[in-house]
Amino acid sequence: MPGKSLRELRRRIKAIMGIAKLTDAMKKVAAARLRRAQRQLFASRPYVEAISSMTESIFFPNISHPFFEEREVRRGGIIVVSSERGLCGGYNMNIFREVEHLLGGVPDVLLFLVGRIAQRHFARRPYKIGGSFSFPSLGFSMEDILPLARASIGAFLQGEIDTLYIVYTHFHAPGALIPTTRRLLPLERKAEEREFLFEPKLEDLLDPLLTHYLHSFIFRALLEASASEQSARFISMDMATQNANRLLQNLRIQYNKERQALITKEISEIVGGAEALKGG
Amino acid sequence: MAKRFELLILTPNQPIFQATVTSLVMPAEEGYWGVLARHIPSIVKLRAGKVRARTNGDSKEWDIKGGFAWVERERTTLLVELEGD
Repeated sequence: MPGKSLRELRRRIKAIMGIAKLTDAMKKVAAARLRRAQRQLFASRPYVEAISSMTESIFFPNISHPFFEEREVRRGGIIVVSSERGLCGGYNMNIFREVEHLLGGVPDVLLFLVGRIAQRHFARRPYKIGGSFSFPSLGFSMEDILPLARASIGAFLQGEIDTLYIVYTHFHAPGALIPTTRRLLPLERKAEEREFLFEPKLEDLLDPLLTHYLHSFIFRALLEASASEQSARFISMDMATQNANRLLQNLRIQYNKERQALITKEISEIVGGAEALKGG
Repeated sequence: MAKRFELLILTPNQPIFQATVTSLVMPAEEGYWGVLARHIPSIVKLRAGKVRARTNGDSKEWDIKGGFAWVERERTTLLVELEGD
């Protein structure tokens, strides 16, 4: 019966209009959050880059600290940076794929999971979890990352793990979701010996300096990930809105066609009836 | 005229200051450190206190909570957290 299909079409149009409105609102929220995350990231990068250049410039061949200790790798630690919430396209899957790839290279593993999505993903898998952490996706500070940094770096110092990696999404440009793996520990002696003055003397300076260097890098990775996550959510909500609008357009055409067909049919019935009466 | 060098003050939240200055005084662990242009390359751990930079007659001050100073011949970078930030 044509009347029923019209009603059905009307119902579907209304439902999809609701979805499009929702995804459009989420897209606008993500755009605002992306701007904030990007601002924080860009404002922090000079600090972290300077800490890195300064600290790496004294990674002399003869420097000695437990962070430089190369051991046979029996167990590797991985910090996995995912998001708290979903609806951000392939953002988290890309990270998990990168982690799986890394898992092939170490005999045993200890995972430090950032974000609920990673916690859910790895809960059903047979890996040992060293800790689970959550951060607000915007506006966290260097202090907020300390529990994660202490747990993962502490595991290395205590010999629970022999190497530490971080897997996160580097923010190159909105839309470019590039999962990135970086080895945090052990550190690599790669600087040339140069004359330097240290205050306090090097053996007292080294520990706070190297610790801060590692903390800064973890902080930066989380900022990079946060901007990437917002950009992934923006793009995925933008695509969802576009899809809903395309679907809506098709449904409206179909609805109008059906309605036209119904009217045509009614008119022809009336005309036919009148002709029949005249003829009779 | 005194030789100048570049001073950069960065915090984890944002860059604070960038200009050429003639001298700098900063709170190291065992007393204040003075820096002029062409200082020997150094890394200095900073404690809470006042950082003071001079450019000829002008002077500027910041209250820091602590951090590190990276002194190079033509540039000094302060990697610090500010009081009240």
